[in-house]
Amino acid sequence: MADALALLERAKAGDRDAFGELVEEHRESLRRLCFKMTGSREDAEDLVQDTFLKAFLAMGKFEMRSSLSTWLHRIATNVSLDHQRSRKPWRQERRWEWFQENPELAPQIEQRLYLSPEFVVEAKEVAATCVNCLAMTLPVKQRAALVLCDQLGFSREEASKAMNASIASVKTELHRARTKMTETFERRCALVDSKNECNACIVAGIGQRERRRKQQR
Amino acid sequence: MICRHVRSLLSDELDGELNEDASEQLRKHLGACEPCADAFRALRRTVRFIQAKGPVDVPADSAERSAERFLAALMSADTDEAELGRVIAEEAQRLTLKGG
Repeated sequence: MADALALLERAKAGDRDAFGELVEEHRESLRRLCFKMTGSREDAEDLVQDTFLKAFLAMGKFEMRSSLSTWLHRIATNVSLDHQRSRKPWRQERRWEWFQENPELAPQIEQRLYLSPEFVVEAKEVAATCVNCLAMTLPVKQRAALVLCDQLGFSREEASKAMNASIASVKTELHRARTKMTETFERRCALVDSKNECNACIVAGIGQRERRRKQQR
Repeated sequence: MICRHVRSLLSDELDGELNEDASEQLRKHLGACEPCADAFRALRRTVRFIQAKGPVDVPADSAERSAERFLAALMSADTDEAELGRVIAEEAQRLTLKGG
């Protein structure tokens, strides 16, 4: 603890090495947040760098009222919100349409990209990709509320600080986001509801496989 | 409680954010109103699904990464058809080569 405090003091005084040592352990978690906010690993890397730069420059102002982790996540959330503000959310319909318009390509793509014998993918990992990319279709504030509260496990109060918003507004955005995700998953996802036939989604193969497995038992 | 009001509180109920009184009223409504009860169960299923899919990370070159790139190209507002075709071809070839 004494070491951490000493590091912090040095970082606040502008010592780059001390700063680097302090923030490094948060890199993965920040990268995950930025990735879920942007849908791009490349953008996420850049945004984590921006976060560190902003944090370094503001380090003198960092008071230990919040933990370093909370403070960094707050900066990263702001950086991500700014980055996404001018961009349109992804288009969910395009995904369903494309698979419908290209039925001959769908099995090939699933086979090659997701379910090839060389690349056996866990349903959990594929489903995580699916959740991430559908979250990208939400307006950015809803996405931030969903990512922070439901994916990273922030309390609503922590999320409100990270988003510079009131708790009431976080609640509203979170509920809207969840409602939209529910509409999509209840109607489409074979993992959420085994009655669904996911005709436009990478988990289609997995959903069918699980069903067959259940039937065989 | 009317249905519209109940629907707006389902997330709070799910997270245990309602006070005892409000929660009891809501539960009473759910016990009597099948559509609202259905909506609550659906929300709960999806939220649990999303929460369980949180911090999954896989190595950078995995199949999931291809799925990401493909979906990003497909759904992103600024991809045109040509760009999409290129990504699909590239990813398919990459995996074929890799698989031998």
